[in-house]
Amino acid sequence: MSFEPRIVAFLCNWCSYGAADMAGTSRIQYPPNVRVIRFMCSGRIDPNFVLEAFLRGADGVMMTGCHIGDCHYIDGNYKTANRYEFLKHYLDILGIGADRLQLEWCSAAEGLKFAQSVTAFTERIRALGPNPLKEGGK
Amino acid sequence: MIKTAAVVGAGVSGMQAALSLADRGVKVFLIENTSSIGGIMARLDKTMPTLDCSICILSPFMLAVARNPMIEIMTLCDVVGAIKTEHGYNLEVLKRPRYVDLEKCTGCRDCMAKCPGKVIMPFEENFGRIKAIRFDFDQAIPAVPYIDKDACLYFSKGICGNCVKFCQKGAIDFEQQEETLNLEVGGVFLATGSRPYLPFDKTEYGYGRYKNVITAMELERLLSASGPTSGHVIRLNDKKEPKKIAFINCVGSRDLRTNRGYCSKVCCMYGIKEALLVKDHDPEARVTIFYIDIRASGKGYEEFYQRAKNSIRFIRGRPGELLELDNGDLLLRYEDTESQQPMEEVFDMVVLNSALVPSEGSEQLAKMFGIPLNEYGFFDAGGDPASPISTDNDKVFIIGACQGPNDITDCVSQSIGAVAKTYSIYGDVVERESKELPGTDKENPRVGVFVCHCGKNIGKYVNMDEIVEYAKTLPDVVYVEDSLFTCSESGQKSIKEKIQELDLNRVVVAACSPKTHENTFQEALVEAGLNPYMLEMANIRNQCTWVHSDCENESTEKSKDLIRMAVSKARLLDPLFEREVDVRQSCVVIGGGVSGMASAVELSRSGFEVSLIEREDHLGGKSYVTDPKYREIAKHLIDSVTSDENIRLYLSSQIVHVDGFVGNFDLTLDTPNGEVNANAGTFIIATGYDFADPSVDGYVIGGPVIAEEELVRMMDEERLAGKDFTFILCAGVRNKAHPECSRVCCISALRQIKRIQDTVPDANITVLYQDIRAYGYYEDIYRQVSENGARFIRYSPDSLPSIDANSKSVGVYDTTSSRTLKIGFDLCILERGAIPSRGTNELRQLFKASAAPTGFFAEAHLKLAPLDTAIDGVFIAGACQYPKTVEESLSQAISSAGRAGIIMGSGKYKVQPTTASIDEAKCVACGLCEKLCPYKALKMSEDGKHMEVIEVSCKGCGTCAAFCPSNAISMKGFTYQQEKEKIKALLRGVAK
Ligand code: FES
Repeated sequence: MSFEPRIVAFLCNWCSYGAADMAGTSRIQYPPNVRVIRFMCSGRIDPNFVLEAFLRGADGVMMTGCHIGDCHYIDGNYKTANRYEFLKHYLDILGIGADRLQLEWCSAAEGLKFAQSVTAFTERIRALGPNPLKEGGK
Repeated sequence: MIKTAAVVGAGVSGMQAALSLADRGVKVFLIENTSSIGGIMARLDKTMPTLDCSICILSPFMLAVARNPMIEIMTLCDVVGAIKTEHGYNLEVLKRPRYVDLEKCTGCRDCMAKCPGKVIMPFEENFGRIKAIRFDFDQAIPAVPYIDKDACLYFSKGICGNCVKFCQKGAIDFEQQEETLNLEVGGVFLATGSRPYLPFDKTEYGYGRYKNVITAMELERLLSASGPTSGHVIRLNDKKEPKKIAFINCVGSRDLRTNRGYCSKVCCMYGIKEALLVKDHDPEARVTIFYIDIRASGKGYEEFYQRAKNSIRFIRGRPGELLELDNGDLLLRYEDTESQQPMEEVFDMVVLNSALVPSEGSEQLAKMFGIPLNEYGFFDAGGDPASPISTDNDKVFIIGACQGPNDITDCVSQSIGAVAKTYSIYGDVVERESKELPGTDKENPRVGVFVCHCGKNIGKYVNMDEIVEYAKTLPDVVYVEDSLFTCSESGQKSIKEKIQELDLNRVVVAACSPKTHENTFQEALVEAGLNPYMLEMANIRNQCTWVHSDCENESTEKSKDLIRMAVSKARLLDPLFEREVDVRQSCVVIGGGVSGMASAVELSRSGFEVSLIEREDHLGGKSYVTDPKYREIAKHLIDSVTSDENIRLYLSSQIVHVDGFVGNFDLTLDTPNGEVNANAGTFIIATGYDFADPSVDGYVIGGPVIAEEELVRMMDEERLAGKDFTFILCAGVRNKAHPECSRVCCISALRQIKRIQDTVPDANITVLYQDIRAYGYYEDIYRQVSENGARFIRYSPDSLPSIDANSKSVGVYDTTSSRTLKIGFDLCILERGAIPSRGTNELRQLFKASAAPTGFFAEAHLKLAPLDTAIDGVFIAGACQYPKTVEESLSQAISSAGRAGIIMGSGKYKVQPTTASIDEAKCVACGLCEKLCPYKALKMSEDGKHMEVIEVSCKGCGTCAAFCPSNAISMKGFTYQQEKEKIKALLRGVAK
């Protein structure tokens, strides 16, 4: 059976969730591998959530938020950006690999961008293969 | 007293007025002539100078309007008649048919997909995207399309009817007729805005004839990700990307030939904004802006302009004509005023930054309500600086850009101010009705799952039976139902019935987006006696069937996953309650200049106790040093303040300590009589500005070199001598130390020049300037003084004028004639810029409020919350935010008083329930969260053992929780456990 990646996406309620909704109203198609978890702000994305997802077998994790400067809670996404850098290091150390984590900013008008980033990320994970922590993973 | 209001126009001004009125307990009819609320701002791609995504910041605002039970949105409506009554007005409103039933339509857009469409709009036609049934923009509210009768085949030829065939809800109704409605209202708020002018009559630029000449508003649509080209800038004739683009400023403004002498205020900046966006989309594009003056007059605008200079070419000069070449390129002829040479250059595309002009129908409205129009056709408020929004008619207010071109920030603040002025019509702010939310049994979850087909929008793409059967197997699920439209009345009724019948205490709705429908379903829960937070939605439409339309198996599986995730979280949901805190009915105003005094007087008039704190030993601030007109206003305010029993005055005093939160602040004052403790419900900071030191630019005051206030004094005391006067603008600012533009000095200088011209008929006046920023109607004074002979010489910031006080002359390199001039004077007047007033930083730290890069106070949001700081209950007024004219300061002062008044008047402040909470046992009191929180909602407990959440201040972003090293912070509604469960459910069966 071909490998279908499992992807978890954490979205902030305002811009990025709006973008995902708009991809829907515009009927822009993207691969069905992603499952969305909504928070109020990308600042809420606890590193533990990301690790939890990987430990439970997610093949890739996306963190998305409003563009820098657009965060509805002033600067939550700056903190997300820092955390992203730190998490990437950590994932390398754990042997999961930094490229399985992706940070994306999407405005509420960027349905297309959302769909494109999900597509590109899914392809990337497909090429990387399954999460190495899983049985059958490399 | 009738507690209703009509707000005409649902742009950002109208929406803000509606929200503020609703907050005061007034029922609002929001009357809009297009199909959606939102106005021009909803059609913009980005806002300046922050380049925020316009619709991102506006959408939540629009939703707040739509959800407010006190506001009735009336789209496609025009006011056609008005009769004044004893209590206000009887309005006659004409409602045009939408041909789509607002109640039935779900906004699925199937009809649009099937509409054969017909192009009618001159611009978007080139992209063939206009449908007869459509939205004006993607995020329209109401989210229901309308049928454009002229474009519809059914109406023109009696054929087609696709929309009727394909609408699964039967929402299309060709039989709808025009209706006339009668409204009885206590007050009328005209917020009809302005509209971008289509420059057909500027024939030299060929707009409408040349394909690649477009207006800035049209470019905005091209830049927009949700526009007709999905954000690609392309030429209209060959769909190629333009590589060389010219922008022409002031098209149809500052132009007496088209009878528009005013400056449109915002075009310089939106031109720069769009130029930067073009560069952002295509870094290779070369962009040139042709300008007369760059009027970067607003907070952060000058810095924005300076940044733009790095990548954009600015040429001073108004192009004479454009010629279209065979391949669609455009030959532009202009005179470069700096080199004084006639020039020619070919561009791929030319963008006209056209003026803003009065909205259609302004004339009729003016007649109906007896409001004068000014010479340019905008509503005229009568020019009393103390009441910028009132008209002679005390039941009618005019707000926002219907008075003349204005930017979003000022429109918003004016709208709030207008509402503050309505005590005579509506009386006091009413205590907000607080609906008590039902609680819910937390134990033994009994989950009901309601799956929506959304007509075919979900149903068609998944195996619904499989989904329903699957949902039944999930833990604690006691009931599953699928229905054609869960959001319909019957759908909601069923939710209510099942909750009661089966004793459900958790509800999962698998349908569309919580962003649009959470509220609807929450209401159903409340009606059935369930806490509204016991709802969890699974978005299986927007984020599943609509985006995975050709893979039924995968969509079905994903829907099952999403429902499983929702159920797993639902099982752990807790009821949440909206708490309210009591608010003290007193306000502390800091700063005794005109802004502070005006706020204080306004608040006292509305019945609140005010303490006014001034660090000097007298009131009046800087108004003493400028204009006699302003001194009159100040004097008047001083009289009111000192004779007012509600206002306690603390002169020579300063705040040394502040504690607490909105509604309940405690403070300590250092006064001449020792320390005084006080408390307050709200604060207004109005600490103004200080003059910049001109010596940083090498100018020394002394002898014949004087500051503006000395000139004013001389004129007042009638001892102005001599007839050669030289003004130097931007003294001490727009340099490295203070890069910002002080905005008001140009205008102030123009006023003094006019005064000299009026009193010294043979005066020789020379003005050395960088740009004359006479925005809006101030352009009229600029034109007058130039016509009266004032000579304007433009210098470059790289070679500042040099003053020789001994020989009474100034040397300046004139960038227009490229010559160095020596100008003799009797008096040389320095127009000093404005910088943050001393002590601003200390005050900021007391409140933990943030600063803009320039050191002035930062507002919560430059566009939509210009009067608020990030700290609830602390507002700003006047020039402590950025330099403002006295008129602008007064207007803002009234508005800030209005904001504070609404909070205090209702006596209660609502705390949103999804706040952080601290597990004291786990907390190690490291204090990290306190540093991270942008709202200062966390603090150390008194015993220093753990942190505490100030729930009133918390906005629920969750950043603290994500960072807490000991996992001691939990976000209500998004707890660690709930989200972890969701992740577990998502990945169930994956890791082996
Ligand atoms: S709200 Fe979107 S990132 Fe903060």
